[in-house]
Amino acid sequence: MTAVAELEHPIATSGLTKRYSAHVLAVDRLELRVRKGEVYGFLGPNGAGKTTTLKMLVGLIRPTAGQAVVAGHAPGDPAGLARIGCLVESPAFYPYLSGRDNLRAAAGAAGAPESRVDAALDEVGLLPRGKDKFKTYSLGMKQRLGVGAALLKEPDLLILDEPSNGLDPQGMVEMRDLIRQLRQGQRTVLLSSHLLGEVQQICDRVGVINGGKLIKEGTIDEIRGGTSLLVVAQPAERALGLLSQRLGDKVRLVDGELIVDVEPQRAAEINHWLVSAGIGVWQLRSAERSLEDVFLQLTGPVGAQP
Amino acid sequence: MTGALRSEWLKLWKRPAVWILLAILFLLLVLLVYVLSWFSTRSIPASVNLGPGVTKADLLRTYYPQNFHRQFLSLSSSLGEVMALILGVLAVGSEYGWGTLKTMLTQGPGRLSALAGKLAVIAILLVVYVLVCAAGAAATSAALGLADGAPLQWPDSIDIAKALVASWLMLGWGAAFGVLLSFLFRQSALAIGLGLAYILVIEALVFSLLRQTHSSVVDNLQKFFPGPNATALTESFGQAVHFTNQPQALVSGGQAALVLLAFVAGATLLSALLLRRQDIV
Repeated sequence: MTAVAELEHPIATSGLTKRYSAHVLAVDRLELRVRKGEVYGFLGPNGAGKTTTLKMLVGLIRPTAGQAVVAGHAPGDPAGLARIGCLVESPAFYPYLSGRDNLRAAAGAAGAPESRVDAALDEVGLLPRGKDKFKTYSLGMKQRLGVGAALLKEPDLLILDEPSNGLDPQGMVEMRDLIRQLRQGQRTVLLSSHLLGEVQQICDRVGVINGGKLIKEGTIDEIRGGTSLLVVAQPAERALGLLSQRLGDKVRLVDGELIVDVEPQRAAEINHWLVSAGIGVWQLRSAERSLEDVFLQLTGPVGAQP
Repeated sequence: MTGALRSEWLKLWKRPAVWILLAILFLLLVLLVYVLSWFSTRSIPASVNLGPGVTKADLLRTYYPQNFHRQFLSLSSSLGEVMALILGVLAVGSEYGWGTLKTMLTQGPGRLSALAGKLAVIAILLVVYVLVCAAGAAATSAALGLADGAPLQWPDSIDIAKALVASWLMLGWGAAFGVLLSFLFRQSALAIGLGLAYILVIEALVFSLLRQTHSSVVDNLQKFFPGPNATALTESFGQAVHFTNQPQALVSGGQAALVLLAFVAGATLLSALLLRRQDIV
């Protein structure tokens, strides 16, 4: 990995692998490139290898094979960590300390000035509760304090591992808004999640991991694939025959509805063909695949998840 | 490094358990080592034979100021080590239990810097432990001396200073052992359980059984273990009461201090190796 590549990609891995035992391969030759300034969604079902990957990126876990460059340094290098803010797994703090003291302790470890503590508390909306002990915080407040700790160093790169985990719907909305706010300037965000809605709303690009392998990567649109048209026409068999003559294998009949894999702009043309042939058109609309559909298709049915 | 030190100081200084341990140690010193023992000695009937040439007044002198440094040293080599072990385990084992080790390490201090900061703060806290216990021993011994109408004679200041350092070294071994066990088992419960079992039972039991062989090898072997050396270091300050048939000290005070120092250094080195190589899962 060259220096230029490091500048373009705050996170770049090559063949990154973690094997816990002969039977447990958590991450398998992962090739990950997160571009500067983007919010990258790291998507996968539980147990897919997301957290293990993140722990390798911040140096908590040593890879079995492969390498990674994070913020221009090897994972765990203090010089690199100085530019990274992260929340890995659940937010872990000292229960007997207040939120403010917890951040003071974290700031000390980070070498960040104490003046950053209140600023970080303010950024995550915890300043009024800063004096309260961590053990009295709700789960949402704990998550926000975790993000606050990640912000102490005013990092170039944020690595957030399921920050909305366990939050109620209101908390999830607040966390999404917070992540949007954090994406300022050239800051890069790697957001690990299994919440498709969250990823769809926040992220520029998405990588889908399953069984430790990166199985798909691209923008949300690329991941979802090309758009289709959904046509409900009567009689359906005649409509299928007509469209198949003109469009070949781009037409499928699914549950009495026709799925036509063409650009939505061709809707008027298709409508004209059908109506001209005396076929009644009941519905004709764009049929986008949801990220959820794609995710389930890529990762398999729930029962088959590792 | 200063950042890690600042962080560790805040975490341990504000931790109630650190001061509860000190309070318990202090109470054990005042009540067990002094008040109850003094009361028990005073209650010995005149008819009881205490040994050749030993009087009840000799035994009571144990609790007077001239012997206060020996008293808090004997506490240090037993219960002091135990409390220090728990302190060491609390400082490290809880980090695994709460998951805070990953929070701190991802802030970027470097693993060895984080460990150095933690050990430095533990070392400072042990100074506080030693000074508080020494002050408690001095105050209680003065009170008991006054209660008995005994003259208040104090040990030489050099002896007091040496006893303070020796006490700190014994507590240092306990804490370093606790830290090592916590890194080894990545939790508090097993570290405390096994640590206490070793300090209070295993070592003494093994050597007690081996001594029955009357082999010189056993005597030599004991010279390289922390328990017998802590005892030897305490005994190097002399006995408050001179009994006949008193066994000779295993090693000199200097040698005992060196062995304990080596154990502290060894435990620290092994802790550093473990932390450096560990996956924080």
